[in-house]
Amino acid sequence: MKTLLAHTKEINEQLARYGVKFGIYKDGTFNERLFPFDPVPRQIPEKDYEVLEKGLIQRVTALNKFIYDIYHDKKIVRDGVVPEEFVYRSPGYLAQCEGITPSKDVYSHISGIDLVEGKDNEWYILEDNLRIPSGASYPLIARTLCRRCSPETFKRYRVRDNRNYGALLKRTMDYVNTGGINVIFTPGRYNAAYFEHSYLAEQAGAVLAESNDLFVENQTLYYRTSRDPVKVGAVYRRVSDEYMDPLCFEPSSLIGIPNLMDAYRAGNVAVMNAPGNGVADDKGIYYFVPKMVKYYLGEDAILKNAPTYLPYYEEDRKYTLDNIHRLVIKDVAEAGGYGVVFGENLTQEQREDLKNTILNAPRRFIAQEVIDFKDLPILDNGETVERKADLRAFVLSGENVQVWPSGLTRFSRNPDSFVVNSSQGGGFKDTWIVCQ
Amino acid sequence: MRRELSFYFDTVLNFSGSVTEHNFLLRCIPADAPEQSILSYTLTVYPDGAASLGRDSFGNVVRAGRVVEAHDSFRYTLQGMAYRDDSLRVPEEAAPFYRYASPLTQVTPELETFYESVVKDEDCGAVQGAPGGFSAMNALEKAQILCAKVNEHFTYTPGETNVMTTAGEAFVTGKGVCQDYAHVLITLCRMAGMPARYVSGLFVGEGASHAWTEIWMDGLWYGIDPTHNCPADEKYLKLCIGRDYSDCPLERGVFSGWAEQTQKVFTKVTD
Repeated sequence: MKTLLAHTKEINEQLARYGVKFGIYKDGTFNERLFPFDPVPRQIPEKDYEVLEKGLIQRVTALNKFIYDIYHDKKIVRDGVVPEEFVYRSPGYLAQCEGITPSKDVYSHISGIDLVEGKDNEWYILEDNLRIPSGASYPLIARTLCRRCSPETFKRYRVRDNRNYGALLKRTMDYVNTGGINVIFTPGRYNAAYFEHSYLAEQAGAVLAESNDLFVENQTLYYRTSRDPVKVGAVYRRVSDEYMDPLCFEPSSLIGIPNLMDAYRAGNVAVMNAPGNGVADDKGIYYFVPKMVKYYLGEDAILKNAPTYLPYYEEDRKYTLDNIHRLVIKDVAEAGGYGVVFGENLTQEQREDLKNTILNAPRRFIAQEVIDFKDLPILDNGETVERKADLRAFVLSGENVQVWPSGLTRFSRNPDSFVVNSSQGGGFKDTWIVCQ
Repeated sequence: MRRELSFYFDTVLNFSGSVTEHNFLLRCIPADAPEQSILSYTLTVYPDGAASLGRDSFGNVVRAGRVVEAHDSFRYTLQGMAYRDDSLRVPEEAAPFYRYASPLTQVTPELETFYESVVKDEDCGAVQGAPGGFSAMNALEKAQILCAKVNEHFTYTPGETNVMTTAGEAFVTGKGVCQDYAHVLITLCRMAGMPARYVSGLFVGEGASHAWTEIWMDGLWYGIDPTHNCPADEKYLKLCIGRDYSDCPLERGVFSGWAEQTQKVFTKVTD
């Protein structure tokens, strides 16, 4: 391990050369900054990982069934398990996707599930990211660099190989492919995750394309080449739903593909992740995921949610208002660590304001207990310090639902902060699944 | 009452310069239904490229196309014959999304105040001859009251609003066109708890295309026209529907090239 840690600087230099960066919007301007890598890996014993793996497969299976249900029969709403307005007021619900059946019924092909490990050694789900979760490329490339710098470390520790992500992604694309090439569709090089788009295209043997490279004719998606256009069978799009097709969604979008939705609806191309699947990763819907697991699979959820309260329900509202000083309040319409408020950091006056805001729009918020999660060691100028960290696990749904035996561990730079989202600053670590 | 309608709908888009790679989606082909049986129709599009027909999530017929070559105008013309007879409507469920606010029909404080004032108005019971006021009325009666109030609130004024104007924005100025009337009525009807939707179409006479509202009660959709404060009966021909205008423009297109766009529409419906 020592040789690995000694290479921190070199690995970070290499990452910078590859362009491993993160873009953040702050005060309306776009800033790109490096995503610092901490070489001390998060180690998860294989025994623990097996539980995680089972729980994640179960959760993503239920989420996929839920999305299918919402855009078809809506049984879970009719049966009163999920209140109707949580579905139809969710910004992730898209009426334009009603009745569309994606290739092989898969809605969330690549899911990024965020978890934390509590001091009680339990894993808790923080949120599900089903739209276009990013981050798999970071531990993937970091692992490759670490192996190069310190091959002996990987002889000593028996770490599950994570370099198969590209192959997994390719299998996931091939499974839903309707005939034609695989394409990764990027908004372009000014996107925060452009490095990842190009890296994954290379790893999965897919073509990296921007909107100008693609067009729809006769309900078929084509990729332009210097010769004849080539049919696209699966498009892993890293453009968000509302900008994906200016003739179906936001008309002013310049980064979309006109009539992509028409081709998708006709069943002539697989769009991954499927448009409209954000209805299942809404912060308000999160509360209902364990109930979905029970409803669709008849099983108890293996992985726990963080204890969550919905001010929408009277009992929960009362609890939230009474305990606001120690809860974390999340605005369901915001993402990326924005709209997250810790009651303990507020002044008395701010708490009263927040209470009133909640009373006026209870559907807009969820409240959660602050989980006392484990600190992980990180190197800070050669010194080991402890910081909060979470884990984004990547779950790929193809013929089978599979968990990538690795993941992105993010930590906060600030010793007092619980927010580890990369849009809020912070760094990342590799995640090792270690065989005993 | 059954009517046989002959319809003609012609739109010309003129571009100030030449455009290429023009992708479009038309929603002007009327869907065939028991109460609106399409006896015949032709749609001509010029210039035209590879064309395809499909249905969107709202049940509209969508006609996609792509013109690669340079052109400086685009024209589509629809004509045909239809039987209209509302007594032939078949009961159906209303999709739940018709009960919730959509992009152009969000509730604003002004609309809320307006709604409250209509609901509290004691006269509205007397007008309808329904004791018990607004809350005792059925959905259609409520919609008719709201329709009258919307019609009274607005002054029909072209050029004050555009296709992106929300119900709330149009309401505040009190000026707008059929689209704005329809959006405000939809918002109010949904506040009253009934499913409501937007309709683009044509009606007997000559001029431009029209828009109105439909509300759902006991399995049936009822057309109601806030611009003219009357039922949208058999003199109306439905071309497409959605939660609001943004779901169902009759034509939407994107193209390469820097050009200003002007539009000329002519419609004629006779019975």
